[in-house]
Amino acid sequence: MINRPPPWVFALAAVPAVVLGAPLAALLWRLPWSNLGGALTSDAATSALGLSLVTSLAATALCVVFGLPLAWLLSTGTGVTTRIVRALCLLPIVLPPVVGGVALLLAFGRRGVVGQWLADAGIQLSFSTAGVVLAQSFVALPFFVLSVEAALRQLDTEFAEVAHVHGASPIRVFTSVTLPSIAPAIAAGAVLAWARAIGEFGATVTFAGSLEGRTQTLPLAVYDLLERDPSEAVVLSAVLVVLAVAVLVALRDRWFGVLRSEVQR
Amino acid sequence: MSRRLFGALALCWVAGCGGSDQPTVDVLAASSYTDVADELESLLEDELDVNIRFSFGSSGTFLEQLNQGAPASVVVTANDETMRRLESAGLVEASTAITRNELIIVTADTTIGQSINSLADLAAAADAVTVVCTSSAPCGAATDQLLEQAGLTLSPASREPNVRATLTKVILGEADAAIVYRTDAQARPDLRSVEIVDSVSVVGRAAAVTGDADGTRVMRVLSGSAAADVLSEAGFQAP
Amino acid sequence: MTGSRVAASVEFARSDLQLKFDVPDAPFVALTGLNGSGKTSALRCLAGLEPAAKVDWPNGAPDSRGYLPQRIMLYPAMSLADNIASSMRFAGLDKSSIATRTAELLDLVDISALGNRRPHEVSGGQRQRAGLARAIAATPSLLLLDEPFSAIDVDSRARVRERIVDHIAESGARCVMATHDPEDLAASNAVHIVLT
Repeated sequence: MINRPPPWVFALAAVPAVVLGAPLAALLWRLPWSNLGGALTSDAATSALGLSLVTSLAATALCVVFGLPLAWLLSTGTGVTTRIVRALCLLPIVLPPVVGGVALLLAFGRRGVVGQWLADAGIQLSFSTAGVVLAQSFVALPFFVLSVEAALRQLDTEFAEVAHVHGASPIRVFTSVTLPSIAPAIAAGAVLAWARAIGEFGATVTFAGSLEGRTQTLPLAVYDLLERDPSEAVVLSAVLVVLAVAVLVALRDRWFGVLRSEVQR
Repeated sequence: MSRRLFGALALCWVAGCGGSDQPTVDVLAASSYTDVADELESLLEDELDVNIRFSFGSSGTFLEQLNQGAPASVVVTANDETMRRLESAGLVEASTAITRNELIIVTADTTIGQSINSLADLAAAADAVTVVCTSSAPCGAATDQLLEQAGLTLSPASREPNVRATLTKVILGEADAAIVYRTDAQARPDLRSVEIVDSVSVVGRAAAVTGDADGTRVMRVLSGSAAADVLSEAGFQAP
Repeated sequence: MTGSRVAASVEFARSDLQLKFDVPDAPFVALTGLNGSGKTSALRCLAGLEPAAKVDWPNGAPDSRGYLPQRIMLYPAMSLADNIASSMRFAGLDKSSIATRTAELLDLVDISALGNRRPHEVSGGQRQRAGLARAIAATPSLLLLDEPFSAIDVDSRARVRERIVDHIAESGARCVMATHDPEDLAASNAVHIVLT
């Protein structure tokens, strides 16, 4: 094996593995196995789980639908505008989520720059399920856009050139040649965005508040339960973690497996 | 030379250094005491010749924090119930009631907000966007008790994790009205506050951590009249 | 309009390259020249991929092109068959004739058994065969082929070349290829221009 790392690399790599693995193990260790069923089927738990699944999937869909055109533009641009827009895309990653939530209120709250027009039209986003989706999309979008943009930039432009010479319109080139070539990156970006969305707390509680059945997603329910019933909070946390880990492990192998086989040659 | 200085600074940062060789005493307090912390801190430092360090949190998490060995000599909770739990777990000495904080309504300068003049108005205003604390927070438990006592129901737009978040929603104009503590309303004179007849109040309690001598000294000052003056200045009532 | 002995005049200047040449009016034209003389750039100019190039077509510009770049560039997410079909789909051919012709073309370049494979699953020579088939599939009026037979194994190169040349001659297309191989010139009876 030419690629086998020396032993000290294993030693260094073990540190983050433990740091990341220990909290997960502790969470499972503390699970109250005897009343697992009761905790999982309580009204608060089921409504929070359902709400989390619906909103995080909706947010992921929004990220894909609107993030793809944005990533396409960013990957082709070189000017100042492109750089500014890309920096804006990074912002939600850098921003503490609570600050992101305040910023969302200032923009889309009922007195916000945009929100007051929406309010006049009878649309209120804050304290609504749609607001949860907006907050999740806000924090998740960068993960999708950046991963897709990187893939687009890495893709050889000569594929598109061949299609262009063969008579394909720019949109045809993008949909039939470019998109299929970056499908693994799109899938990976969508999974990252989904994972970020389902774990979202700060922006959601600040922008959308917390009300069971309407805006109280799984992480919010966990936070609320932590003070009332810590053992049920642990159960819900475990549900969130197991769900996320299962999806990430299953999908990662699949998509990154595709990438690996293509790079081999 | 510079390395030694750096080492000293690093040690300082890890161990926590005061301006002098006074001992540092840690106080774990409910977030509703945030506004009054500076004055309490100078009072305690003057009286005891120690360096006081406040850290704020949600009362509900104190039990877990102390169990996990959080550094604290004194604990100040926003309500009775939390302190009872700490006492029965043997984590603190017998506690003293130091404040009483009453629920009050604050309203934003919206048309609906301005039309609210009582708890009954609030319950009747179907269009009003109202926010209250979540039941698991002391202010939320008190709100639930208040509504039950008055025989009214509210359909809040959100049950916020703590009283600060609840207040913020009204400050930003997202909510028309909120139920918060009197001290919060007093800290924001720009908001209109509406008295609640026969309101419910929470009693804040303080206690020294079991076996902590510094804590016992701090407690003597906290239950004294000078501290009572500082607290009443901030809008707390006598317990 | 027709009757000029020049099919295209090309002028192209880049910091590291000066190109000025005429493409004679002949069915097969071979571009030769040393490495770095600009053969690939010359084909790109004729393909319309160099916006800075001035290309004049005295007898009229071609209405469709087929292109095989030196690095072949089969679309990685498509099977070989779909790669071949892609240029016909872009040209707007109907589905059933695309299917029939794709099968014919796979057969023409001897890769019928590989139609469902993806580009990374086949050899360089097999990729070049598929690339050739993709270029000629939609029977374009101008074919631009860059070192079109260089990766195909020596034993079968002559056979593939003969079939492709015959196919192009039958379709009436004009073909410009960049090549180092004297056999390519001989087989296609190409008019030969040297880039300097």
